[in-house]
Amino acid sequence: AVSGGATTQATKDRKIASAEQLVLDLCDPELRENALLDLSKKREIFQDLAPLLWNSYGTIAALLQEIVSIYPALSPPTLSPAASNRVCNALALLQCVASHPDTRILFLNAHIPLYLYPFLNTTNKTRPFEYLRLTSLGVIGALVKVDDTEVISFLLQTEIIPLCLRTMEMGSELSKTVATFIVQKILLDDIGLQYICATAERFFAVGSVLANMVVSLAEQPSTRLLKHIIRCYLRLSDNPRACGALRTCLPEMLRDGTFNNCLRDDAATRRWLQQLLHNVSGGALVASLQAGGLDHMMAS
Amino acid sequence: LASNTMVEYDKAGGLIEPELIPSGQGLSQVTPSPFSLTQLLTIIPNSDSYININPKLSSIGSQLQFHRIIQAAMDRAIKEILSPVIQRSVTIAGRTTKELVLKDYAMESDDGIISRAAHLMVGTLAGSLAHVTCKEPLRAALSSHLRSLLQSSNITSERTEQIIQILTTDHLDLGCALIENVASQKAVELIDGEIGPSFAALRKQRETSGSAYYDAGIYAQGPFARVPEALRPKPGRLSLAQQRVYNDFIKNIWQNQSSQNSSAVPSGPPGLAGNSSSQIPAHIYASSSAPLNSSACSTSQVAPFRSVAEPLDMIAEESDHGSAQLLSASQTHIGADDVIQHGGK
Repeated sequence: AVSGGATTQATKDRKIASAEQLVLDLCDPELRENALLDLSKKREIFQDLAPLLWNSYGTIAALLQEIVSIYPALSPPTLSPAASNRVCNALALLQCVASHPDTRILFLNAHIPLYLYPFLNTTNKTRPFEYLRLTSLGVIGALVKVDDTEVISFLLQTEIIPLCLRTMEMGSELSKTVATFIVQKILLDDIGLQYICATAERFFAVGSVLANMVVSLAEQPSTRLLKHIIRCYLRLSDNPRACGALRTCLPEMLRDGTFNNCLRDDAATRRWLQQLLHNVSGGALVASLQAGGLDHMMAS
Repeated sequence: LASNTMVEYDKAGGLIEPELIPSGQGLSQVTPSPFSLTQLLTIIPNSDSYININPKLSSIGSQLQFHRIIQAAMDRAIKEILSPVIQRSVTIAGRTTKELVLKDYAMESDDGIISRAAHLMVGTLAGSLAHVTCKEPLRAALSSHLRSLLQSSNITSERTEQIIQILTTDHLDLGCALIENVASQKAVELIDGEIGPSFAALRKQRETSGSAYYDAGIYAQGPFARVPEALRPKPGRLSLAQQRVYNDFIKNIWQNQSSQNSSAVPSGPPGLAGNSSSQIPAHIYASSSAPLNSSACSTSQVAPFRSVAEPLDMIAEESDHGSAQLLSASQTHIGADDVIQHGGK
């Protein structure tokens, strides 16, 4: 909303100066809380904040301290809303680092995502914990967003799949969506698909969690969550063995038009669903479905 | 020692730098593991003096009897989960510390300062990770060993489950603290060897390029180019204000620790402050710890999802009296009383 080149430049300089001061403040325990809040709020407007966070002395160490210092509040669950906000601000800055092409691999090399796993492993349903899980998933989500097979390989060597499945089972709609998105991104990578389909046990762990989500979506529809679930199934059907297994374990609700209404405005997801049903049934099922409601709707 | 421990090499224990081993096997037969159970157990002090038996149990059996049972159960439970938990925590913390210290102390010429910062960081990170990840596996292991020990002793009662819960709740944090301490010590012990070669290489590189430790050119290019003066690692010694970040690894994390430091902790803080948990079953660490070979993950990746809703709430709610309580006889039984009330509901 700033007009005029000179003003813009001046604003930009001020922004940079204040970003630098705030990063400096992160190392001071007295000033840290406020700096975390300010920086995480302004992280979009500060350009190249991620390299600044990474390369400045002690900043990442300070953010790590923020993370491990709330481990004691996880079980028994005693995390206060204020403490949750504070650590989530720190996580938002780490998300910045995870998103930036210059810092992403450094972030992985230092194994920092693993310090978030204890947060993903919590089951408390109160807001401070929901928020903590969601923000942590956001960091992992930022990592997988760019399709980098190095990121996927790293994550597959950790416990990320079971942790995502756990959130997909018990999280809020939003957490479920982010967790499913992460699984989807992992599946879309060839290594990821291979990994999840490598044993029947792994496949059924993912398949049954997806199926449970479908069932609960029938009661509480969410188009965005359904979209990611269908994409996961569709990708699974690319693997011949998984495709065979889906013949028996794909939820009936995906075949019988239950979600027609939910997908009314989402042509892309409808196409995925059709492709999925086609893959799974080898054509026969789609034909029978087209006699029902779906094609009627698709034609309109 | 190393060759003896190889025989005992716990199958749950893994490799030191797993990502360096493509096939995920083989090298472990050549390189002695610093995470062998026998070696790790030598770090654990006798927990005998920390065991307190809840007076509620006196109507069921003798103090001495319960004391022996919880001691045995604790020993077995710790043995069961120790190796994988320590290996995972120490490996992750070591890697993090190496990368961050190398970055933050790139300009530092005093090895003592580097080493001190690395010790502070790695000790806290490894201890915190170990504590948070061992709690639920330890709770499960402790309960199960208590159950079988109680069954094989004369103590049979319809209150067996209640007894197990009381003993577990009263001693879980003690076990976590012992494990946390092993992780801290082990991590500190190993870190110099991990960062030493990297710093040596860094210096050699600089010497060959003409300057001893500090090359102004490094500021003009490379990762620091975009970092403003005030935020850069400084050549030579870091300012005290800068070093405070690493010092705070002690202050922030262990500030709540009990003042009753004891023989349990030969060096450094006892790490009894943590009181945290995760519900990842122990076996998951056996195969899928910090980037390990994925081929070993087949079952462990899947198992936890069948037991997400473990009925832990009742115990968890009551165990928040903190581990400091374990060292304080006067408070020890508050939590357990509550558990009994819960149990009666």
